[in-house]
Amino acid sequence: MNSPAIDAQGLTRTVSLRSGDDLHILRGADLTVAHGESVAVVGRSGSGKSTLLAILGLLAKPDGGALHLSGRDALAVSDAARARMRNEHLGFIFQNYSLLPHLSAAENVELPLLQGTRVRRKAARTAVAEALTSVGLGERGSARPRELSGGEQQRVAIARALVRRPGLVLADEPTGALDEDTAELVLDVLQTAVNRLGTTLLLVTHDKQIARRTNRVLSLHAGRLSPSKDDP
Amino acid sequence: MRMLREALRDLRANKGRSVLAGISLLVSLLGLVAVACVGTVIKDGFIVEYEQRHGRLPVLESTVDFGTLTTDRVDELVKHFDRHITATGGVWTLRSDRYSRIATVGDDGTADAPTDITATLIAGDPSSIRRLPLLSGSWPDLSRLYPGGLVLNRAAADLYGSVGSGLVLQHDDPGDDPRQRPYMQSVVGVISDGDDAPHVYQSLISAAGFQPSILEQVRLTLSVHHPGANTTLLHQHIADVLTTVSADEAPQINAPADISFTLNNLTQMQVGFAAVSAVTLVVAIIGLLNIGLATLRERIRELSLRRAVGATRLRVFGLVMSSTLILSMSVAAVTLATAWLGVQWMIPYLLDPASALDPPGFPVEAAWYGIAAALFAGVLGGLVPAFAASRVDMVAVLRE
Repeated sequence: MNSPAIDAQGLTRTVSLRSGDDLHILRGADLTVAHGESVAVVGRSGSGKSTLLAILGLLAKPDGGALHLSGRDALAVSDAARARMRNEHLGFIFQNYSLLPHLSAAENVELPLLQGTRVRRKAARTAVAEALTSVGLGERGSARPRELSGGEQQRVAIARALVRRPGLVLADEPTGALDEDTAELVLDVLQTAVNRLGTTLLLVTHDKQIARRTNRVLSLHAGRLSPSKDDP
Repeated sequence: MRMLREALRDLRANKGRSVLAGISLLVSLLGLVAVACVGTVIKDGFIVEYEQRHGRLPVLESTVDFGTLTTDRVDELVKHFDRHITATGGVWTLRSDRYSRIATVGDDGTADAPTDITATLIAGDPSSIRRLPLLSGSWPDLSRLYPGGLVLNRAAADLYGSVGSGLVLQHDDPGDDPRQRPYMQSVVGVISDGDDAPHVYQSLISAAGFQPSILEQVRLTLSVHHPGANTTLLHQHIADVLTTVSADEAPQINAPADISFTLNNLTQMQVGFAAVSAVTLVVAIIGLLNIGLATLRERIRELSLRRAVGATRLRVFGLVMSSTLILSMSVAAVTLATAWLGVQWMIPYLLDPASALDPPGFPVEAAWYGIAAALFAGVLGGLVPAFAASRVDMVAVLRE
């Protein structure tokens, strides 16, 4: 694979406010991430980190710019094709875990396998078991989210993000809702898992300690990305 | 199958919503199916009552002068009608309704004081022309002179005794004519004829044998039923049959009574009730829609998560639509089961055992109405929420 995992050029995003003014969230953000690299994007609250993540994760479209994921133009394809790309090539980890409360841990992890390309039930069960084991929750598959601690829920979310072995994982403040010790544990689990699979990781955080654990740290300021002072 | 599993999980996760929407739909579907069931049963009841009193549809009759009647002449007429009506698949009766006097016979063999009764002197196949459920005993052979035998309706049996009872009978006004003497007959059968007044049935040939004067100057009524024939054909058939035996040049051939007015009224009433049920169905659909949209607001993060992990718009649409359809078809199944049980248990319980109406089966058209209405409600009630779900903002999953 010669093309980078992420190649974003000149991304712009503007929203119109009720007052009639325009708010420029991204003003030509450029980002290139190689395969297997881990990158952190830091910035103050309201700097546009989640918007950037949404665009990179194909959850939203930019107003301008280009985006290629593993060499494929992610903006020139249909909505259904983008859904397929999210299903097969991307994994998401959210700050608030976003587990479905009426599903068990195993069923939550299985969710990406039920969308997109059909996976046989036996293969799905195996993939789910492996994903939960890789995050240390092999015995907790039948537990509901309310029966799990915050750290355990986030580990289930990590397992869900990795169950399809995606090429790219996007994490939005993955330790934001956790205490310091649990945050360290979760991050260890995440990094171990992505390193084992060779997955590219891009995480958005306001925590500089967390950011320093990646290969590279970028700062989002005034709608643009630049190397951060905290870049290791 | 995957979508079905997810849709079932979806319903289980939102039990309250599912139950509320289901109850609303159940009430309206039950109303619709009940209108269809009850309407069919009531209509059948009216038809059966008509057929019990007048004859199975289609039936026509003609009161005819057959000339000088003797027992031989009656026998000749019987053979003629058998050749031209029975042989072609039809059924007929020839009858004369008489004012009669009847008395019970005591154990000492003496007759009590006679009372008035209407007697139908009949030849042919009365139980095929009219719906006359046999409550006990049997019909006598109406083609034989002797030994005869009487068939009473329920009201008469209550007054004069049932099968095996001996009765003294005399037709028309008593007088000095020795041919008008009362005579004894046994009760051989009891039927339900839909008449609350006491009534006795006797073979025309047998009655004429005991009391020959009954055939003098009398017009007999021929009733004919032909399964599968329409009224026009039946009319022509009777006219042809009567050509060679009737002394009337142009015998009047009519239906015994008009049921079309009643049936039309019933149909209009059914349509009216169905319209009311349709309105309740619209209300149920609006309820489904409302609950669907309200639930959607609660489920925005869940749906945006599904989109985020790769569900297409079509899949999300299908998920919400499947949930609604599974719910509506489940309600349809409950409705049909309830209606079926109602028809199977309640109606026979309410039905008079002596009624000519057989315990009705569950009308198939009611089942089809119920299924069609449930499908219609499911599609309409789920369409807008499903469409809205497929358009949910995926970024919502990123927000707290």
